[in-house]
Amino acid sequence: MADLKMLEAFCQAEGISGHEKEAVRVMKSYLEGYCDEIFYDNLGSIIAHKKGNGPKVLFTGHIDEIGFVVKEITEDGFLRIHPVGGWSTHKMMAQPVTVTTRTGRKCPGIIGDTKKPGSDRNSLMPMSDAYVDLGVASKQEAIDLGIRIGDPICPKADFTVMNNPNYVSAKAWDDRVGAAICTDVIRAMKDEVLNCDLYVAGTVQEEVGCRGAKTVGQMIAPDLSIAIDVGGENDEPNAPKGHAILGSGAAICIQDMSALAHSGLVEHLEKICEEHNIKHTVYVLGYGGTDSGELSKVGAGSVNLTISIPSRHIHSHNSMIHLGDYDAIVSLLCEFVKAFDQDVLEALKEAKR
Amino acid sequence: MANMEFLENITLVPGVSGYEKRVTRVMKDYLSDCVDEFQYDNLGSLVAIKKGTGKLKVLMTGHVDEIGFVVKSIEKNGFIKVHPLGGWFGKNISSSLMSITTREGKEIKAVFGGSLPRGKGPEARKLAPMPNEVSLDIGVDSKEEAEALGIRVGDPVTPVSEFTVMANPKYLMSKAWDDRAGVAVICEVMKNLKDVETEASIYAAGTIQEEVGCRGAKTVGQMVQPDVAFALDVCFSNDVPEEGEMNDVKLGCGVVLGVLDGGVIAHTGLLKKMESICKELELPYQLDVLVGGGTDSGELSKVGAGVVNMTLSIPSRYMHSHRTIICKDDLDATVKVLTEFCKQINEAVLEEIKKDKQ
Repeated sequence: MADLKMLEAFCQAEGISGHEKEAVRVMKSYLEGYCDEIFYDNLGSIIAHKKGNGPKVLFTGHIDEIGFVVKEITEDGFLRIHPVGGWSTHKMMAQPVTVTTRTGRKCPGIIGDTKKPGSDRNSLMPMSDAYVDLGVASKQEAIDLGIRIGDPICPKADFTVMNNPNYVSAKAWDDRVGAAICTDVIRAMKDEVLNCDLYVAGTVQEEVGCRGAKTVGQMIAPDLSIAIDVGGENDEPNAPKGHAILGSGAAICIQDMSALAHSGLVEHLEKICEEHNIKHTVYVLGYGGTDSGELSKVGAGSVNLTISIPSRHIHSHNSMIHLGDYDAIVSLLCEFVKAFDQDVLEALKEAKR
Repeated sequence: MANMEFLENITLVPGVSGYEKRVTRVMKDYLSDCVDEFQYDNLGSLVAIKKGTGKLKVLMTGHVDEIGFVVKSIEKNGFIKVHPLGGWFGKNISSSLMSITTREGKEIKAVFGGSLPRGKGPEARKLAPMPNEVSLDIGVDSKEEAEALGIRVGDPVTPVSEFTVMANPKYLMSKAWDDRAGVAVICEVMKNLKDVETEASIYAAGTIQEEVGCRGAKTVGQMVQPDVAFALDVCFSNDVPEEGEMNDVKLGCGVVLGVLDGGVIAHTGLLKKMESICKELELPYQLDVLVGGGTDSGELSKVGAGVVNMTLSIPSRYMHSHRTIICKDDLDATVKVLTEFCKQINEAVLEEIKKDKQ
């Protein structure tokens, strides 16, 4: 069962792409004592290894979240900002953020919402006009706080258990939920003797191009890899309703713009779900990509797919997931790992031949 | 000379991106008597290997995947919504015949429907519907009936077509010449080299997932680590009345040497070598400058410290539709040129080619 205290710690840690260290440290604190070794790639991704005699399996959740960096400090003490990851300005207006200085000082800020005179009321503010209001009177005051060009700016939001307690709202579910699932899987395997060599990773810089997945993939050279990320289909009122929605269980992604699921692995996971009564859906995502885009193409290729956790309001301050889906994915991955060995790998590869 | 039975088999077998194994099996069967070894990458690409006397490695690729769709959802009334794999043109979708392959391997015939433009004004008649605006009709009454047939989200959907020898028998019409024509070329080269001693080891690979981003070329390239790599693919033939005079590439005018495309610039040394082989063999050739699009070469050229690489193309009409036409003479000419290259290549020739860049 999902540990809410752990999930809160994962989500509330700050870690925009390129500045993931705080989030990585939280992940590390939950991995210690549950694996044989912990190591890093050179970009900051964290990898936990539980040794087993058999093929190499890698699960990834990306540890970075979308945010901004300081581009310029205006004479009046406002910050011009540059987006890191895919923002739409309508989701930013009047939202709180935290600027972290070189010395680690946390400075609160609000993203301003005043558009240029003459702008159409219904139009979005161009990203180049976006700015952060620090509540200071001058550039000097901002500089005195220690703020410099390049400092990371992270969304700030509450971690809220909603009215139906299975629904939880927070910042950065994309993709701390994947990193947390990876962590919970290796924790659950602590006392198991595995016939596979298990690696789980919190990968950096996914939001700017799956860069940690590329380095971690090359480092581990896995036989099989699964990226766990947010995704799923719509279940909100203004668009057609899908099936891979909040509460529907583990969502096995057939394809997105970055990778096509290994068809043998899809069928294998479907079978595990049926045997163990794990709620699941399969679905097709017509946009976006995940760490799988890189993981699937490492070396001679790894047997790979993405498991999504259905989510709402992604790439905003307040996103939402369902704890039942979280538990379903953890169960599915645990059952998979326990039964995975060289024979299963060979059968999966054979499914493509 | 191309084997007509093989051309029919290799083009008609279903194999959309991500679901290529029936195609690699046809390829493997055909090559079983003339290569030393088969290998697979982990995504499903097939590599056939003829061992050479030296250390050089020449890789030829033809991508085995074709464009198609996957099942995205099954609607209450039994209609099927799909998501495209590869670059479909809306105009080629309406009324076309497709086949859905279930998890158990059953083939279910389906046709693309979509609403009529009636009552929507004259402009609506000019618009081609896009994949998200049409549904597949499998001729059932309900979702339950569709599911009882075994259809599930993620099942591949492949164009259905016929293999037709046209009025002039050198013109051949079928689906999936993109890129089974390339696959056929590399297979025939392997057949030609069966009892020939070559210094280079020759690798013929049917690469998967080209249509969604040259993914098999990336994995096979990393696996083989070739010295020289050719991507064999189709290119646009601009000899139809609607196209005007975009370039010189025409059906029946010989092998096409790809000068550049959106993903790669031909290695100039290799381009010159291929031109000189064409002249030696007295074979006509054409040069293609493709302003958009790309081939496996985009990935092959960048493996390791880079690979001496270019694309050889077979001109085709109506690419990315159910019915495409190629000319068998072009295919045969490409086989001849490539066979000759494999015979001639050795350390000294490769050094000469590389020098062109230094």
